Amino acid sequence: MNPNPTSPSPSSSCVEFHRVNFQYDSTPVLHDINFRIDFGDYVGILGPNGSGKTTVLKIMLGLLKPTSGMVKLFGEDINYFKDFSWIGYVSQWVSHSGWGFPATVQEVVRTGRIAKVGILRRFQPEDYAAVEQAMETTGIRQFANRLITQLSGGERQRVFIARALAAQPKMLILDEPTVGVDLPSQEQFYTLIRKLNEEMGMTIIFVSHDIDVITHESKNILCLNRELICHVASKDFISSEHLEKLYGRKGKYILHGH
Amino acid sequence: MLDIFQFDFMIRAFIAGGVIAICAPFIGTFLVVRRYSLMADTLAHVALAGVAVGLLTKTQPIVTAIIAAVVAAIGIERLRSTKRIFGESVLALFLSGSLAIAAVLLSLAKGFNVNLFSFLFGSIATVTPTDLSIIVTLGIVVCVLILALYKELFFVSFDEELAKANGLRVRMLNMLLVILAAVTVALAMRIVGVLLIGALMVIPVITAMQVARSFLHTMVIAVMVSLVAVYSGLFFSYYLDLASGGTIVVVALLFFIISTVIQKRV
Repeated sequence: MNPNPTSPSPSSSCVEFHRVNFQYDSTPVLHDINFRIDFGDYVGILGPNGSGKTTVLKIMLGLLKPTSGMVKLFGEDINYFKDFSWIGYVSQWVSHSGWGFPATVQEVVRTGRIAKVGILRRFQPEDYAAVEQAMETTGIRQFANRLITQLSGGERQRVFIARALAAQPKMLILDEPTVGVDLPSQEQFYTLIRKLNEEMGMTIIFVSHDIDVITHESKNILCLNRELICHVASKDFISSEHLEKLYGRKGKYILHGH
Repeated sequence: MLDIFQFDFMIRAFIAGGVIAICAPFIGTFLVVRRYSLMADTLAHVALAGVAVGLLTKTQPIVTAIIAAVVAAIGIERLRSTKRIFGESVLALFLSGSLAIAAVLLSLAKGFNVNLFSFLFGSIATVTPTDLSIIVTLGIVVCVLILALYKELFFVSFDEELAKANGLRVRMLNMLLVILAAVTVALAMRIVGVLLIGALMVIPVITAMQVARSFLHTMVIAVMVSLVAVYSGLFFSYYLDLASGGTIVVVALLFFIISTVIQKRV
């Protein structure tokens, strides 16, 4: 069920990791990671702090190069992959340099389109239309001319999603998307992500340390703690068994009661 | 009309001043939002070392100042991107280091005189025809590049990591920004003075940020503030015989104070 005719066939993969190792200087972070994420999937990556979750995302985004092993994006070796506008990325919102930055919602959402437009080229009508559409989808159109510093955490989160959507990506990668976002906004956020996955066929990969949310929202789960602990369907995820492997003891301490 | 325009040097000062008044906040806006405000000051001190080299070797000080500032800008950006030294420590290193070099070279060139004072605080009488042609040519290059790469520079300033993930050439853009800052600083030196260039690049921008409603708006207001500051500064400087750099920055400072009073009415 993929409405976008230019997409590769639904049977092909979005992301593949083959025997991927990664180390910072001499500190090993990832060891022998193998997995494959298919089109239309909704994957939650779960793991404790320092388990290498963000590193996995950064490798997918081409921001970090694996020490060894191979990564494929949309079936192509990442070293030759050029169409990074197919991948939307929403980083941890606390890491955004948004504090005091004098930019409007619209100016920020437009940045999502810049790589697609290309250097030294101006925005065309279809670019403005994509920006409008992204703001519409995320429900922030009424804030278009507001400064981002005047928004709440949840509203700002939607701005960053709109920015990712403005490039009309095939895959959306989110890193701890709801940290610092209040509960009603979180629910609104997951409803939006579900809609993007189910109605628009967008592949979703998101990182969280929140087990409840991951098991509830995603279709499949990747458990990571420097190595791949498990890659299972959410319904088959048996907390006690996997969590013990993941955290090295009973997982009760980290179960949040949302 | 006004006797101020009877003199060629005043006309040169007004043209050069206009170019600098536009370039400084153009670059300054990106520096301020990236927490690079001290970059301008650092490069200005490096430019002074360049001036000293020029006086010592009897070459055009503006040329040696541009070369020194650009070389330092590349060095600073390289050191900063390795992340082995904190960003602001790199700036402190270059700021005081180049001031020391300037002091040594200037004493060798026996340059501690009135001439030096004009480099430190700016002087309207010192823009030569050669200076003017360099300022106008390079000033136009700076403005054109900033406008042409506006959307990319905005993106990199707002979210460097995402810009990189989107395939933008982030390191090249960062390098370009600091090189353009270096050129602007060296150009502005004659009129605003080494010690006050930083102020002209930063104060109009933070003034604009108090009242602006978008990034573009910030840049436009900053340029307007800077133009008014430079021109009224030049007038006061001429009629009251004051150092032009100081006068310009004091006017800019007044604007800032007014802007904090007006603030944003949301």
